[in-house]
Amino acid sequence: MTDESATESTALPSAVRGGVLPVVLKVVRVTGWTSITVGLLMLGFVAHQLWVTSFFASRAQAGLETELIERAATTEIVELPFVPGEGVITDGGDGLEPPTIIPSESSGAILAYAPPPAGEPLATIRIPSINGYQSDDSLEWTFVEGVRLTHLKSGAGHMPDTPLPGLPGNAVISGHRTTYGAPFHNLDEVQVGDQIFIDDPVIGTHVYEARSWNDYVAAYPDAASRSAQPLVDGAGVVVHRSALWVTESNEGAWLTLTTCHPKFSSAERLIIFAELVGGPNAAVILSLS
Amino acid sequence: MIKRLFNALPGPLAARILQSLVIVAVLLTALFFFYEWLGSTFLDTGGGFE
Repeated sequence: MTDESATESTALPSAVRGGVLPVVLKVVRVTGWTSITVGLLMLGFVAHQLWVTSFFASRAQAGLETELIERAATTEIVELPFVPGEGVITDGGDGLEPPTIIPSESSGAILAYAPPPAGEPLATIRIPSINGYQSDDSLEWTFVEGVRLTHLKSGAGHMPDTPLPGLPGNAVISGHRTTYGAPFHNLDEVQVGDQIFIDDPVIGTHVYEARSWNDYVAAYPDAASRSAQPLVDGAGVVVHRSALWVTESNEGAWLTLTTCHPKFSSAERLIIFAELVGGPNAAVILSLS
Repeated sequence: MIKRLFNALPGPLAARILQSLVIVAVLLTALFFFYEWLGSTFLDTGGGFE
């Protein structure tokens, strides 16, 4: 310490030197360490969300693809009668009366199979018009059966209470937007008319086309009363995170993709409505609907 | 503070190092699950509905 600073130090009032100054220094030190700790925890959170979750999802993808091929080889395909307006007719189990099937000219058979147990891979979604997250390749992602948090750690999942893709009704697939591989990161870039492929290794590839909100409302006028905000550019529609109505069954065969909106928030949901236009069941469903 | 906490652990140096490693592992695991919960609840729920 120099003589000058020593002079300054002794020049401080005794109350400051004896009581207030040590307290102030302690407060500054504690505040500093607290800020550094909180900062490091926040950085850790960002790193975890962006990289750690995606690492686990990518690792899961490799396993799911192999598992999907193995499961497809052992899955039994059945032909189910299909009646427009009533969806797939099952065999009237559980003690219920067998359903009436409308005469043959207005019914047909579609290919189906029992969904896999929750958490197991179901199919692969491909959207050639958008890229995967931080990738130059178009989106291609194997999704599982189930949409609980544990299932969605692999990125995307099919909602169990909805029909499988390629079947009549409304098949719903939910996926992460910013974490766990973020398969639906660029879902807002899907345009009306873009094709969405569901590669089902059991019965084939189902082809869907993205529809606008107006198309959807035209097909289902009840939707007009729902609160929904179509994106200015794209086929996406933004709804509240509790808007369970988007999962309701529809006539025909639809695919509904759901993800969080906006990015890095779960306040709302971004929805893509798409209609079946091709695939092993499309001819029967489209001709009868 | 970390030094003081380390010195407050019981036993010889080797035992204290071992205890420190266990405590750090437990804290990191708890932090991992806290991050998972935080992210899945507020940041990106996966597009499901409440």
